[in-house]
Amino acid sequence: MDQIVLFALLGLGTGALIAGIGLGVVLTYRGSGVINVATGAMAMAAGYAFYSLKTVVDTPLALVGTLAFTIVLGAAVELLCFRPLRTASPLARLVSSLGVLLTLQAAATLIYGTGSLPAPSVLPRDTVEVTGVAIPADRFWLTGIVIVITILLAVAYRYTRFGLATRAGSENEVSAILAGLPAGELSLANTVLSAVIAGGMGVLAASLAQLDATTLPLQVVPALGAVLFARFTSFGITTLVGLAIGVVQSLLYYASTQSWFPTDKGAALPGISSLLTFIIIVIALYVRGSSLPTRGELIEQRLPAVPRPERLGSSAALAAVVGVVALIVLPYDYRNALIISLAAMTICLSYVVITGFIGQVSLMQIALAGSSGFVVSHLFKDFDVGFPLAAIAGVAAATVLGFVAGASALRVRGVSLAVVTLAAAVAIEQFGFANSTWGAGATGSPVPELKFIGIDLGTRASFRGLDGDVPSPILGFVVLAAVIVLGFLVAKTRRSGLGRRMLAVRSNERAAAATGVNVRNTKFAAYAISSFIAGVGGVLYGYSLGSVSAERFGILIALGFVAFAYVGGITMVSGAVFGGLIATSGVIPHIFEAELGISGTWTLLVAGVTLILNLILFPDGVAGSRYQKKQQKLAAAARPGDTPAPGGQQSAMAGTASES
Amino acid sequence: MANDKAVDAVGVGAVAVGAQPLNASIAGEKPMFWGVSVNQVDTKNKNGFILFGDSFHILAPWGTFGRDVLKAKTAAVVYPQVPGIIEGANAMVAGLEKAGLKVKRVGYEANATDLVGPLTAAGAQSADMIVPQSDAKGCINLAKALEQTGVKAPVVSNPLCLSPVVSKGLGGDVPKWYYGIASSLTADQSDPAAKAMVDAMTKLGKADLAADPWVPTSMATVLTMIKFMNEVGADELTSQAIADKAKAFKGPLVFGAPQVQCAKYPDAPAVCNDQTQFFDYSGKGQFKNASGFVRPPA
Repeated sequence: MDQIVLFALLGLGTGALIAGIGLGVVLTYRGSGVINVATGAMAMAAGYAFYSLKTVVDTPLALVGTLAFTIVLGAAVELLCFRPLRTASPLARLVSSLGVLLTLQAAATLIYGTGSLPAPSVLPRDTVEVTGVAIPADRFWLTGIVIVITILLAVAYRYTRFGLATRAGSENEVSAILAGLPAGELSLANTVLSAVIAGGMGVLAASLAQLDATTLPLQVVPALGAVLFARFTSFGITTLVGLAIGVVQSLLYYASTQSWFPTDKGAALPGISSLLTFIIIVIALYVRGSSLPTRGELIEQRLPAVPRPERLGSSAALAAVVGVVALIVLPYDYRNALIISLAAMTICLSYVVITGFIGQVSLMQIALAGSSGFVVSHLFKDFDVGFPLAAIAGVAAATVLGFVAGASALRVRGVSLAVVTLAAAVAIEQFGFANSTWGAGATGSPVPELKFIGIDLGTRASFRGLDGDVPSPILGFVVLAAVIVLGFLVAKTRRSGLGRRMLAVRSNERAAAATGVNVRNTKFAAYAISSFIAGVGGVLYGYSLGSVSAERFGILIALGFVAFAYVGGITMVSGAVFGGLIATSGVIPHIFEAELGISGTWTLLVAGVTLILNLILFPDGVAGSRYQKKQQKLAAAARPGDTPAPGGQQSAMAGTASES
Repeated sequence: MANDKAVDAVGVGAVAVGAQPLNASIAGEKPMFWGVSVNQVDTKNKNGFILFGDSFHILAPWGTFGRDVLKAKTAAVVYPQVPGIIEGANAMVAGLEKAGLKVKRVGYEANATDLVGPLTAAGAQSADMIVPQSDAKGCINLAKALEQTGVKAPVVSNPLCLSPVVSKGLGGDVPKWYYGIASSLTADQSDPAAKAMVDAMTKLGKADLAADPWVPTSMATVLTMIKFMNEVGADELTSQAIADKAKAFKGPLVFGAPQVQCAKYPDAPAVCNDQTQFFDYSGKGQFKNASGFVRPPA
């Protein structure tokens, strides 16, 4: 019992940090309706700001400076990222916060490097002895501070005019505005308050969390678990569950030393903590999912248009010709980048189905791809099973996994699903891919050369293109063929009855159900198709790279892919093509690196900033914007003398809407 | 490198995640040379030469050092659950247990925050010897947690904690621990190569980098490759000729052990060394050799 108490106390510090970040998430959601997944990154930014200031001024001045920084940061995020999207879909706003996360992370890496920095400690540094073990007192201080903040917030939001106005705006924004409440100012105040509290955590947690570009940003994952339990509204429950997660994580450390704890090659099974967070979130969704609130919004938000694909045959033929020629003509490094881009296009295509068509924000498509790749690798490594059986099994495994995960979608919608899939992606990475038995262990897990009935179709196939080097264009032809087939499948799905049902579910589930659409089956179909496509992507990645690894399918890669898919145009096949071209290690980043010497971190920074700008300026993505311009020109041509802009766009949109 | 006909041999720094495709791409067609390898894939390369040894073999001497020098009976091993590090922790635990020490080990996820919990669970507050097996990033948080809890037992770390990243992360110096390493350090002036290395780095204006143990081992790898190529001669230079010279090499290895033997372990043909020496660090760049080269416990 002593040990239980001891480790429960040891978990308070981590729990307080999770709770503090959770409070920030609740505040932003109450004010602006955004599930701000960048809250942990804002804590990190404040930590870096305090570190920088502390090198030139004393602690009090550095604290004041950091406070000012967090206020400016919060205001900037609200005014530049969230407010312009106030009438956009919740999905767009969530993706915008992903853009903030990517931008802050990449900026921190570029400015401060990838290593940790000596974050100055603010809280008292003495220790408290419990059952003969020294526990740093700052953990208790941090816990106390978070509890006090929680009480103050709860009281303020119940009894002050500001708090009551925020609650009113949160529950029904239209009524609040009609009652004369300044919704915009309330949103700004809440986001700034959120930034201040998250930033405070970034400074106060210096003694227990290292200051780098990943540790604090990823604390948002367990924090979201706590926030889900609190239905995005209750400060008290957020803090309680946040502390509980920290305590349970600490107890797991103790449990891992016990003989009954599951092991992997003698060491305690890795990733249990992430798995636990995922389970907590799933429980929260199942227990409270149907009663999760949807915020009363100002107006009905417009989702990106989903144009009906035309001329599929000629588009596919053109893609095939261009792709084949490029694979033969390009030098080996560009050929390799093109093959990576083609594989990435399949991942983006899976986003087109799950997010573009049916409006479900899944952050686990990369994890599904990884699952498929790992199945291929282990079937080869452990059972000597090669192509095509291994590939079929890999794709089937991803499809089943995605289908099972999709069960959560029956009780939650849109952005709430993003939370569970974010946790699932982290759990699959930590518990699945990092495991040396069924994952990759230290080095990545090998994937054999792609061979079919003895014919080499892989990187070392005999035909080597014009330069005669590896990778062989033959592998590129295989990947290209898969992309074209999948693109065709996705486009046909959009044009089919199933596609129209998906769009109906995306627009309004209740209305869709009222018109006879089976919402549950439509969602399941979308999950199965998108998981299948992601699974194919994982197989293609594996055969292209010769191995699969935890990092290749990690959470940061997953977040990047959401950005690439959204920037490309998440509702169109052509958007997926563009998303693949800009994906990490793809053609455009390779051009940047090879020709301009711009590194991968710059690519992520550009991706983050572009994502935000794109959401504001081109909410339909690059491909969607091109389509709209084309429609405007066609409309103008049809009506000589008319100015094309508004009418053309409305005409194009109306066509889309009528079919939806 | 696989495509470039002018490349006859490949030198590798240290690759964990990309090791599989790297080895697969070269496909044994050209000899590959590493300073230290942190994965098992490299060790299986029949045309590979890991001059200073791999993590499995050179981390096992922690047991010998703990038993014979520190006279420890118990050890606490703490490590982040990241690729390359877990396997190293397994090797350390195996070495410690083979030397007769009672070991408690606790892993934590890479993005874990408070490490007082894992250290306490591993018994660090009462163990005779503490072994943080971590990458450079994790060393900082482990050092902070150990300092916060006032642990007095000797800490014996791998050389990754000697990185300038750790020094920067802890405000200017690496922790005052023991460090085991399969090479010598540039601070160890008893090794004649150390002074030459520091002088060369100073001339290049990169003296600060010399303290990073990866730099001398990488330099030693390059120098050894050049030695083999010189022995072959420019006119006779082929992949096979370089590989033959490497196979026959018995040392001494610059910055390394006086004697090495590639292919000593049939299940890890690329491994050339299994010896490690330990240094006692007292701060401000002062290292004292605490053991000389020692082998895994018999």
